[in-house]
Amino acid sequence: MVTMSLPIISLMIFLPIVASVFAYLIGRRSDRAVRIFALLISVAILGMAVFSYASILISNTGDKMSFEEGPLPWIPTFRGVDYHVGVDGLGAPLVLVSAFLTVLVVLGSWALITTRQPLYYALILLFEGAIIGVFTSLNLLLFYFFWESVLIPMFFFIGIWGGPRRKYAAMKFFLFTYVASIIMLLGFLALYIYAAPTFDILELQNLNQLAQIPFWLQTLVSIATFVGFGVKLPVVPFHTWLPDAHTEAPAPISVFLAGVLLKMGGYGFIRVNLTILHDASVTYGWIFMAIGLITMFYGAIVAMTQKDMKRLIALTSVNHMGFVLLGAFTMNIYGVSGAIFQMFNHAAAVGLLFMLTGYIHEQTGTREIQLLKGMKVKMPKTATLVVLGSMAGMGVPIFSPFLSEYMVILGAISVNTGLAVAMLIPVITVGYFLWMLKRTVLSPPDERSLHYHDMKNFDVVHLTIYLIPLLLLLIFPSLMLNMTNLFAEGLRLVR
Amino acid sequence: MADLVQVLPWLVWVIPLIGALLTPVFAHINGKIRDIMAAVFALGGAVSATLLLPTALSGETIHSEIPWIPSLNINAGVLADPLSIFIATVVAWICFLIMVYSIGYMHGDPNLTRYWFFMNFFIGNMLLIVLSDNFLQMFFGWEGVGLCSYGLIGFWNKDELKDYVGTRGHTVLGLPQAYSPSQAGMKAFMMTRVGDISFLIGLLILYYYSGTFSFTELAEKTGWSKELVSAGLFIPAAILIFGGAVGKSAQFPLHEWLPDAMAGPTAVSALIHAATMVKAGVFLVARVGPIFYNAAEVTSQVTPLFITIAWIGVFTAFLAATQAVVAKEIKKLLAYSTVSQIGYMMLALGVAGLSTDFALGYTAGLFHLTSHAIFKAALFMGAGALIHATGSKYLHDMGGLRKHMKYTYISMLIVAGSLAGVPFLSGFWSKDAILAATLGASETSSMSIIYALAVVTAVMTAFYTFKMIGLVFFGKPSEHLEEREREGHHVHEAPKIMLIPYTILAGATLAIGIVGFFFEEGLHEMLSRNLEHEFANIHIVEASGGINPTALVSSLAAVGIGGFIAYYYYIARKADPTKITQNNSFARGLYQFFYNRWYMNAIYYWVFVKSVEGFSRITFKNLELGVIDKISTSVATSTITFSTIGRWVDINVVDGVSNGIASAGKVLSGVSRRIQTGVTEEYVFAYVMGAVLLILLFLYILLTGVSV
Repeated sequence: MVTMSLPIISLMIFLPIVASVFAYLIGRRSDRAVRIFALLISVAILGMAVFSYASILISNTGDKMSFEEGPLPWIPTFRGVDYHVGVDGLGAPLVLVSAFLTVLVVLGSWALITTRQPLYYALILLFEGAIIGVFTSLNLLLFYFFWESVLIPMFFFIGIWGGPRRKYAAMKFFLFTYVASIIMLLGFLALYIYAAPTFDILELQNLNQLAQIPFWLQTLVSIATFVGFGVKLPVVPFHTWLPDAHTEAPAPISVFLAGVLLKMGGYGFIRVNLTILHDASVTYGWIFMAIGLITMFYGAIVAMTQKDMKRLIALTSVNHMGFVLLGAFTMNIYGVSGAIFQMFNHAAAVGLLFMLTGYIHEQTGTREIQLLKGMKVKMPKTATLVVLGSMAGMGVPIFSPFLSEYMVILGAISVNTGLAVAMLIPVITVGYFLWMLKRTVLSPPDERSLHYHDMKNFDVVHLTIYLIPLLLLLIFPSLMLNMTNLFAEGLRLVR
Repeated sequence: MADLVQVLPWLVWVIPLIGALLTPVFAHINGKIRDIMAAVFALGGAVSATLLLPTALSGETIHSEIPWIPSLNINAGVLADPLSIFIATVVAWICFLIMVYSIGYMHGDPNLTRYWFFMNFFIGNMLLIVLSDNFLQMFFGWEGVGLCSYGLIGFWNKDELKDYVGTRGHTVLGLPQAYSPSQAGMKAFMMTRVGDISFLIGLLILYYYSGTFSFTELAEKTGWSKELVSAGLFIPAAILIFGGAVGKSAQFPLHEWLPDAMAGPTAVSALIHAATMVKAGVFLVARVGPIFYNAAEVTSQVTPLFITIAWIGVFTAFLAATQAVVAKEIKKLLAYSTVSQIGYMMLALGVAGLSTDFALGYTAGLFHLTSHAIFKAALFMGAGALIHATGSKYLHDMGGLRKHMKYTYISMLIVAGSLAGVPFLSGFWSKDAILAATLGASETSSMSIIYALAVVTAVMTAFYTFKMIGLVFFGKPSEHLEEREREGHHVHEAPKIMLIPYTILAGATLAIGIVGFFFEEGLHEMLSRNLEHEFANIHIVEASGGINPTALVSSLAAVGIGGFIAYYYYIARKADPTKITQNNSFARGLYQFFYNRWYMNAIYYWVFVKSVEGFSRITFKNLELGVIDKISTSVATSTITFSTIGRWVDINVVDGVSNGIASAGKVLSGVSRRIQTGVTEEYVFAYVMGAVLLILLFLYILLTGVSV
């Protein structure tokens, strides 16, 4: 029980933030040292994340807050602005996936990032701390604080280490998410002013259950949070920052973008809309579900004719995150639990695909699907991983995304049988993935492709790590679902 | 011992899966060991299945479960009842024989590790489908075999011209009809995927109303049907599940993938696209049909389902047979024939639910499944040997081979006779049973049309089968063969390792044919006892149908007529069949219509591929870039406005602010001008800082206003 008294959540948030300063200082002496330092810190955080995840799973307390700290007064002048953190069946999987991906991003940057390394790794640690802060904050203002903090490292990642149009992409990313965040903040303030003078999420949830948050206010705040979370998720038509940001971002950062940053949107919808704004979510749930469906469909359709492999995968994210929105607003156990599961799976599957585009670009100098002929001849390891990653991306049941996608659809069917139309989307997804594979991996080699070199074994190993949770969760889905189902039940959603 | 029997059904499918995963390990030792071990693991599955046979014969059922997703009431488990044990045994032994054949057929291919991996992975998944005790687990196997099918159709993924299926230069509605292996694989995967999705929707609906995926629970507690009926989803759910079978078993309207799947190695065609995977759909109907039949409160509730199954079956049988009649490539002829014969099986299973005695059609369908699996696997293996020997896939490039390939000739004659329905071969009995069952169906006015179509199809079957035999083994050697002879390629018999597997299957065809009547009786006895035991609402009329004289006469007449025409033109070669289409414009039109696959293939491509692709392009160009992306510009503009207002607030409202905030405001306004020209990172950093400060200020004002 000693460990319980250790402020494990605060450690996960502030250890990387403090370490980022040291990383920068160490990095001035040696690039190698800063890489190792960042790896050590991120592994330590992963250890803590696994610990917190496992203890919630084992004790079957996915429906309750664990490792809760606070509330401690943060800005004492104002009531309800406290430092209050904790994890439950929603936060724990996302904290775990953030910590997991950070380790892999550090490993993935090992060879791919060669310039201004001290700053790079410092920002990575800063990002990790901030993102864990987002997934654990139990106070809306604290949540907003971390939410915006995530923006800063991400802006620099794209702006400094990005591709040729990085300035444009960084600015576009920044403007979209920043404006949206402000609107979201206005929503939070409206709650504070008109409902009760508190930002505490748990308190607000109680208020909702006591029917003390008027319906008009819920509607108003729902619109505000929809913009805030929707841009991050992203939903159509707020998604255009995403393909540009991805195309310009270096591969490891794309992993962060797709794997972690997008999850903030899904997390927000489930944490805030489903509970604090429960009644508005019930009444207007169908609008959210419709937008989710449109997002899924649109992402798949537009992905099909992309010429850039990375852009195709970026739009796959749009397609996959639509499932999260749809699932969350089905407001039943299958849908909500499936949405959380989907966020986890998407992070690993698409993370792998983005890293692969990075290696392919490094080897071949291009990401144009048309130019990447006959990849399997000289790059068999890369090609195999591309095929496996695509299998995960298209929801074939040799990896866990299959389970989460169909849990979401099961949830949707439970609401209305007509929502079974969502099933058409996996067909399109399979279509464009196979078409991409046919043109890149399976096509006959040409002059160019005979000069390619395959990736190193080190890279094969760390890229294979992405697939481990996907396989594990296919065979033992209970490792995730025992927790997330409990969480979804605990929401006591009424439709 | 009892415990071992509990484990056996797991071993049946786990052993081949382990074999698949170990393939790369064996490959590291050496190539020969890898090849042999692949067959050994397949044998392991076959032996385990055979050891279960006594259980099936004694009418017992093994059901073992372990928890999988307890929070959703989903278990993993195996259900070894007479149906699954019987099918598993047949499938596993054919798989083993084809693995042995592959050792010879694929000899020397550089990518054999991949080949063996997919083959064993396929076998494991196929047996998983058969032995699953619930829908979800079955679906895993279902997708697994689809994946292997994709991997193996496109096995020769260098897409060399010699591996193409279809005739190059042949276009229909402006679309080329020749498919490269990788394209054919993609087509197969996509088209079966449509069926899979339908299957999934159906079973998710079923799960939502019943709360379980388990076959036994669905059979025992039939309360779910009442809710489904009142929601109006009983028949839709059943038909959606049947959609999965339509895709996998290449039935109309999802039949177009199978003929092009012939781009894969012939051993693959024999295993996956003739003997096993395409039967998964039939198996699914055999699994699910009784469940729905049993759950319905009155039989008439399920009638629409079984009529649909019967109609799709018989129409597919007819449709594919017309195409087989005009096929030019030996493998494609056999592929069309497979589609057609599976149509017969579907017909039988559909008829089962329309008769007073459920077991009659049920047994007939599964009997035909068995006999077809055996003879069609042999036909494909024989065809592989022929293609090997002659260097061509076209029927008209062969001819006169009976002297050079005696054993192949005899084996193929036997199995082809079985396909055609020659008396005292296995196919005769099973096809006769289907016709008899169709006649036995009660009510429904359309039954006579269905029966007529089934008989006409039987005539065509006999015709194209003997046409194939005639073109390959009779007459003079073709020009192609003579030219090869001059080049020094002598036609020779297939090597033993290829020959033995299909002679064994030919022997099996003969053996089952000799005891055919009793075989059918035994199968009927075993299956009907189980049906009656498991399903409260299925009642069996004691005696089996026996021999139905009308059916017997029709099937004998069909073989006679079809066989005679083929004999006249292709074996005795009394007249030139090409004259028919030359002299008669109607016949020529019909020929073109059949040869172009009733234009369905081309129309599908236009509607579902070209148009979706076009839609995608238009959406991207006009909506994504044209409209939505433009919004980002306006968002940028509004942000500038916003920050300008912020600055205005900064300067005018908040008087006497500190220098820091003022300078932030200055930076802010500076940046807002720079946005149009491009921004340096330092400025943006300052912008962020300024903005954060501004927000804090904003908050300060607001919050003090509230809390005071």
